[in-house]
Amino acid sequence: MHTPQLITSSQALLDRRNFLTNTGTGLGAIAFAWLLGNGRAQAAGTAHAPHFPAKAKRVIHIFSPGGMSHVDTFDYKPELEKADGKSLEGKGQLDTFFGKPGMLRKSVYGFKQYGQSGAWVSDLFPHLSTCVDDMAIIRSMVAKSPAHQPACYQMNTGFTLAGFPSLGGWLSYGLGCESDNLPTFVVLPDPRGLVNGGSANWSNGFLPAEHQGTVLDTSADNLVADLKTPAQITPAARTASLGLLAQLNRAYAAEDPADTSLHARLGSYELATRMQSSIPETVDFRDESPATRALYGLDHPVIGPTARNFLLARRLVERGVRFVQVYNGGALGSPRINWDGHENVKENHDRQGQLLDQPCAALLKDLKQRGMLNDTLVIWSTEFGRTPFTQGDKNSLGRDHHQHTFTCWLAGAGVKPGICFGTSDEVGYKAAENPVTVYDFHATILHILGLDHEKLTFYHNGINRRLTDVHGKVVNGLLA
Amino acid sequence: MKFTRPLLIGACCLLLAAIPSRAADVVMVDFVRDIQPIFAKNCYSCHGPQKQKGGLRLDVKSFALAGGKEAAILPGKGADSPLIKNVVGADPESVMPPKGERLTAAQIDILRAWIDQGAAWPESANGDLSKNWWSLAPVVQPTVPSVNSANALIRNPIDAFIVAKLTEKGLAPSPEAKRSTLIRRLKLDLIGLPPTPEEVRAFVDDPDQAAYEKLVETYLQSPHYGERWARHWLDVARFAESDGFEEDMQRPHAWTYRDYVIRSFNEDKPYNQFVREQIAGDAIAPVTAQSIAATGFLVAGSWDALARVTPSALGRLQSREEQLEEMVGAVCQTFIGLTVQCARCHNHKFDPIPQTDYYRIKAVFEGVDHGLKPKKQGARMLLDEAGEKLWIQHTAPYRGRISELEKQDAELVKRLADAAKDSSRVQELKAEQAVLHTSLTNVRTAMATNFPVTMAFVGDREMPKPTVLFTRGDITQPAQHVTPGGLAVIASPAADFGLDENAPEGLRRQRFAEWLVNPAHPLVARVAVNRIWQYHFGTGLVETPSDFGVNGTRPSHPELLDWLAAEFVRRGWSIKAMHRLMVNSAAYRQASVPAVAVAPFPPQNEKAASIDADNRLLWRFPSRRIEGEIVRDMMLSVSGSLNLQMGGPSFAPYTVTQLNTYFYHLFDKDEPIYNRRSIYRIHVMTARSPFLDALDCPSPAIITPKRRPTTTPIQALALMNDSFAIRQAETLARNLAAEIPGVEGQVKRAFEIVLCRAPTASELAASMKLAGEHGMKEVCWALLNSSEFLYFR
Repeated sequence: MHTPQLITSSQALLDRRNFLTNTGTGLGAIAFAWLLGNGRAQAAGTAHAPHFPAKAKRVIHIFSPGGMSHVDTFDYKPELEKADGKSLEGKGQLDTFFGKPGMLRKSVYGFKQYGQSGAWVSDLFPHLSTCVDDMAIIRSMVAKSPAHQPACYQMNTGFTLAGFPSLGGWLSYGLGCESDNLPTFVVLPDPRGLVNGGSANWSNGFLPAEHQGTVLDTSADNLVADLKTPAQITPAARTASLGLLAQLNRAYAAEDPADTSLHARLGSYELATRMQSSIPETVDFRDESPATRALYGLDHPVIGPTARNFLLARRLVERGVRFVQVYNGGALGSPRINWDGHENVKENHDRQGQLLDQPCAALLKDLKQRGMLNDTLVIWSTEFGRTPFTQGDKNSLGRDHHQHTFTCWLAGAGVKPGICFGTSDEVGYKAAENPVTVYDFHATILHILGLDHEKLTFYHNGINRRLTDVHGKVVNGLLA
Repeated sequence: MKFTRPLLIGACCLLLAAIPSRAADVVMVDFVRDIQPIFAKNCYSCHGPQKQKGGLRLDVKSFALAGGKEAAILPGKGADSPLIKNVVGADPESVMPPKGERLTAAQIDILRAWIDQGAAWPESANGDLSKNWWSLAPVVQPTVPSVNSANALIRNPIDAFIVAKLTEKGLAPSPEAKRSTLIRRLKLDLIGLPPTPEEVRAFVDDPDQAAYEKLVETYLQSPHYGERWARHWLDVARFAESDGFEEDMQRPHAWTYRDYVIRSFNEDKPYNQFVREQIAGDAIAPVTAQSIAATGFLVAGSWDALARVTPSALGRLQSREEQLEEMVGAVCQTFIGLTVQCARCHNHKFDPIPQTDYYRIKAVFEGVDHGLKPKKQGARMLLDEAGEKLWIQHTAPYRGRISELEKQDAELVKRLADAAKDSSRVQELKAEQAVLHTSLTNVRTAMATNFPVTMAFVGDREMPKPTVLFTRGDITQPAQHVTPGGLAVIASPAADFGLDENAPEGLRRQRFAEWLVNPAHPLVARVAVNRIWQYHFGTGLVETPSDFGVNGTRPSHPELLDWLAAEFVRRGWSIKAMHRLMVNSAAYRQASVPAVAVAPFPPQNEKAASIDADNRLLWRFPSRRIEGEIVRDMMLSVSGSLNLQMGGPSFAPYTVTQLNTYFYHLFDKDEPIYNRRSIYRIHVMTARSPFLDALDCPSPAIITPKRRPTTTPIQALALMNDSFAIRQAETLARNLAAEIPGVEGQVKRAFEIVLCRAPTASELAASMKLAGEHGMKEVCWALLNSSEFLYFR
């Protein structure tokens, strides 16, 4: 139950109140360190040491909700091409979400080999295919659920039920904050709308609230909720009233010096005020070169809004944000704004793929040329794949949900570049060599960040909780 | 050959190794003396509380004798027992321990002898993990310690226990807080609203010695007491008004459970009845509308409706098992403070809960489901056939209107897509859509609320199939059938309900409820009084309120906890009686921070802080940040905007669009229905308030036995800029201007209203300057943002 305590010099000063809620875990206590100092936020003093030396310091997680079809993108299946139109035999009873397995269907796109690694990528990704030498493509992912929401929750929080802390929350808790004027964990929703389940996907769960993802919506009036001082309050009035507030809060805190949360409150207002300028500055792209704008496709009429988020992801990690999650897709429903190609995989994936391809490739290239890929981990994932057979009758053009095998990839710090790891069977129905569960995936990600997934725990409601529940092993084959 | 006991101790291994095997027949091996140390030193690291390699656990008798994948110990057959074979190491593949030092020949001999002799394992040597565990032992009311009352005020037995502990450490409690502090503390704690300046004045000036006790009674009789304390219970009950998951459909009748809880607190319903009703109120006579609504507890959690209708049979079963785990987990943690759900796949790793116990309790709830019957516009309820007919009749006109509006909405969506590039047209259409959505919500609400029969969201009941234990929790590995029952480790009340696997659905829950509320139950009263204590004193006597198991913390004052638990039952399970005891105690009434005037206070503080910085011994009153819902209620209250209307459907500050999934579009309006207390704000999972979120209000889906207040810049932004907070400051300023001429009077009154005290000279000067330059609303804003407003001490 007890994880090794990581002791910092500031620990003695930690807010007893918060500290006590989580004695025995250490990390949680230290996460409060940034609140220290009478209003003085300390960038360096707020991060805490990992369990062992980390390869990556920051993470960008690109999440493509809806279920991207592996056999049409990164998992080339020549046998599937041969078996096109036949029924799938010898795999036992086909158990699919909508229960109408159709005939095997070859990829709706052509495939070619790319780069020195010779990885196969479909024609859907003309840009991303040029980045394969930086990727470790995992073609043997296995999810626990064939339903969107449980599978999304699992990919984001490790559990199929709602209410658990997200990967970004765990990293915020485990590693703390590197920036003194931006949140630790920022979420960039798809410009077309929020994903299903909304904030449950970037929840702090039972971790303290500061480990929740902060939504930064570049299309909204307020980039972050309540960021702007309301128009009716002049800057002079706000400055003056903050003065009175500081006087009141200092006096109240002085009466009880042992309660460090009262000092933290003073600091939190200063931080908040700083965010009011640092966040707009981060989304102001005027200092980006025309070459960068073109690389991402910032001015492209269709992909422009999405491209902004990918560029913003780089700008955020550049400024010390620990975890940025970029959504490449919104809620399920009609019309579909995600990868859920039930009716027509090609039509759906054409649209979604265009949005992902250039901006995502640009991000990888941009990070690389700035040397940031050396200490930034890039994760691309979806919640599950799609069936190698059609959904429904012979004429169907769609594919159903598929959790038995699918593809995700990693790139950047700590990742063995230019490899394909694991395989699915000959038609892409079941993971074959080296299956990687979502637990393993998470354990490996934490490992790259210097965290032992069995030691990063938080006591909640009678259980020392982990991101990986009671499962998961680090996949060494993915590590550089 | 006989050895005397003193000779054996310490030398037994050597001696036994030296004696011929025949002699071992005569010398009885003593488990505690001879065997347990060998297990502890050599085996526990892989076969103990943390790990159970191969499923084997050697620190608990029942588990050790049951073995892992195969039996390890065959009593009477030492040489044949796998445990002996492995420590002997005949097979190098399975030699134990696999790493580090091997057992000595002497140790192996004594192990073998112990098994040969029948592997006797006394109950008393079952480690911490059986009936010896403190929370599983029967509650016996301890005598109240006698303490020297010259050193400290003893108002009731609670103080005797507290002072006794403090005295042990050479500490003393703090003096009583001043009355203006006490009234704010008490009213926020019992009612969750700030006292008015007039209330404060009347109390401060009351010459009656019993003024405080009178105040306690007044607040306990207030109907708003129930609203405050129901909020605590709803945290534990993970009360939600939507399904969560993919669709997050609303539950328009879930509020009936919320009202049931408020009413129960206000009526001071005996806790045993409160428990009984929530477990089986629909099955135990007399069944009333209230007792039916109570069972909303069982299905309050989130529910994956879609995963239950997938054609994938395995998917459906998997989802059903997850749902039942959620239910068993919520029931057991709430009422008995044990994580029984951890035993779904294996025996509990810390507590003496075998896997069969999980399935016995699952069998109790096997017939409860969130809703299998067709959806009735979001309402799934327990209705008899006549009720169903009535419902269909009632909803017909509404349903017509709804489908008409939905058709219009779908068309609007299409038109919106077509007009995507014409921004002014998009705006027009969006405005149109907003009107449409409001109508839709209104019709839906009207349909749900105008129904002449009160409906409750309580799920469905059906006669379940026999409960099957799944090996490793894996639904593809069914094993033996299990019958409904309680926890085997608890000796009394009996865990065997005398029910077979075909026992009627309701009867199972009835027996389980009776098992819980049996006064002999060691956990139910302890867990309950600890929760009450936690909400009054910030931290429970047991810091882990929903875990009284081995992984939880030990009580800081075990005797006090037991005294209270026994007293609770003795006083007819009255929650209000517990409140009276607690808030009338000197421990509760003591100061939180030193009043400068009391001379000996600061040195005592310093000493206490060095000995007990966490204040677990209660040498001062523990101050704390007020919960988000109460902060919101307080803001509404001081601005004069609070609408105190009680009960009924929740207010829902959003419009809804439905595209398979329900989308909730929040708004902030200054209308009375949106200015009700926060407990009446609808608990829809994807329609949470960012303002309340920032103040640490948990997601409805999460069981939250204890809030964790944080201080973040996002919270500061919410308090600084949220339109709700700004509006309350402006409203307060407007009211002050209407009421009092002159800035000085307004500032003084503002301090009294918001902070329950007069401003200091420098505060008055600074506030008057700010008001003069930028308006009174800025002063009000600062007060509403102040720590003093957001904390109580």
